[in-house]
Amino acid sequence: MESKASILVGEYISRCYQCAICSGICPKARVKPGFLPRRMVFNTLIGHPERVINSGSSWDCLTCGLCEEKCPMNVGIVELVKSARQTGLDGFCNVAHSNTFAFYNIMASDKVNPKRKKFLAKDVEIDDNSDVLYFMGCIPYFDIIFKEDVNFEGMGIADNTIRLLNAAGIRPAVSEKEKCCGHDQLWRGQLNFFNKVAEQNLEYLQNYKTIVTSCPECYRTLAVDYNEKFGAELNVKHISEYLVEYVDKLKPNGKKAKVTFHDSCRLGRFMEVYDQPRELLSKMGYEIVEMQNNRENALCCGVPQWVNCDDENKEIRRKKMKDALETGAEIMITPCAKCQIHLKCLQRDKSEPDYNIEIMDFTTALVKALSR
Amino acid sequence: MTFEPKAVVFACNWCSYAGADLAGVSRMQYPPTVRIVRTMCSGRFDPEFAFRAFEKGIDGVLVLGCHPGDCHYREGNLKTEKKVEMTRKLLEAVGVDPRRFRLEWVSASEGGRFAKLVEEFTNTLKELGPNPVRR
Ligand code: SF4
Ligand code: SF4
Ligand code: FES
Repeated sequence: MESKASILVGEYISRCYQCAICSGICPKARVKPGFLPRRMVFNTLIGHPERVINSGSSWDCLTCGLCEEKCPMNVGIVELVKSARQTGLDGFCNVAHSNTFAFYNIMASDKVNPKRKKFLAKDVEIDDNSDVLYFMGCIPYFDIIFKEDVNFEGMGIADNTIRLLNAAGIRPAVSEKEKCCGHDQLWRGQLNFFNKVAEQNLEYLQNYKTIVTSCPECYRTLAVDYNEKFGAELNVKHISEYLVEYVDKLKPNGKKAKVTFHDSCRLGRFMEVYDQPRELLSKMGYEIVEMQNNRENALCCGVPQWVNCDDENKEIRRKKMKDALETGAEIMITPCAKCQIHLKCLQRDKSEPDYNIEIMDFTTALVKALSR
Repeated sequence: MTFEPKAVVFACNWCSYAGADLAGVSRMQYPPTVRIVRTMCSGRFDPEFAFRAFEKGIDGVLVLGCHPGDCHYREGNLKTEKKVEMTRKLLEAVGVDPRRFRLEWVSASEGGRFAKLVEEFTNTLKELGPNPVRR
């Protein structure tokens, strides 16, 4: 069977010499026997990509990128998974909360404009004429859905991001034309949706000199996927990257705490932003203790793109929590709103043991230590 | 051509659907705007029902259930309230006018109220014009 996957991934994978380091390091392989990234590569290599596609194993992958990080031949395993998913066989794709997330499809229409500014706190300062845009991402929606249920910080993350920018002397613009960046849909192979929102977003994004995001997924999508796929030349920065240049303007208020930093896949392994958040946190007075698996070895939160929130992936979340608890830190700081939701959800689960550690967004931690 | 709005109604079997039925057998007049979908309880309402309908171009969605305390399954309608609240907020956040989406309580004896509600809702929808998502 000639399949799209073989065309898309051929050039990336021919280097593989089947050492199986990927299968050894893969966190999913440890909780789901039979899922082996090496096997996916092997089947594609010998001309049977349909085995990858029809077995649904591309949907088992977390797209966390840990295997790629360790692969001695730099095989693009995540790219392989992505293109296998894009062949359209999404019957294996199990999206958590998919009924609630059905509202995303309305957003794809260019006839409706989402609301954003009205959700912001009163004290944040924005300026429509600024050449710096704050791309908020899905925070307003997640605020509505998850704030109450899992104690998610919600719009607080967006507010705090702007507060930090304000403290650095910048009043960013916030666009009411902003649609979802399409990250999840791109990684779930729903290219139709992705292309629609991306085209609408690019219409106004090009007008800004700098785009700041607080979400690692928006960051990766705008900075890499938009630029690669649509030939855009967006200058995108994660808030931590952007703030590092203004670090002198941020005055700590003397708050002290022992914290550990969770490197979300998109920010860490995909965009290689490891130092900036740590630098900012320690400048603001936090003592950072590292988890056993940190930086490029960091463990995934377990439910990327909301795919497969099941028992197997729950085990990965438990491991992540264990990693964090073992550091003895009071707070686990995560840059990604979704990681926060998934981990707090586990914390709230009554059938789980007590995970006695506070989970906090990166921007919130900085604002809490900021003297204002 | 004048704009004739289309709306879908989710009515629970035990109260609201019976109420709509009563409106029918009593030959009460109401605008032909609505298509009624019967659910066993208003608690069967799922946000996806509304989102899918709006995505496909419906002008309004009405959710009807028993009055609080009267739900055949005790607290189904209280859960509906929560879901509807979230759905409305999400609709507003993506840019659909929240007035296009309503939750009301209609008992089995309130045929008149059902007819009046549909009329009111139709007027609101006429004011708002067609759902912008519709091409
Ligand atoms: S680690 Fe790389 S070279 Fe080794 S089996 Fe996996 S993909 Fe192939
Ligand atoms: S991306 Fe992560 S989950 Fe997927 S195969 Fe690689 S290590 Fe495993
Ligand atoms: S049965 Fe009517 S609302 Fe539950």
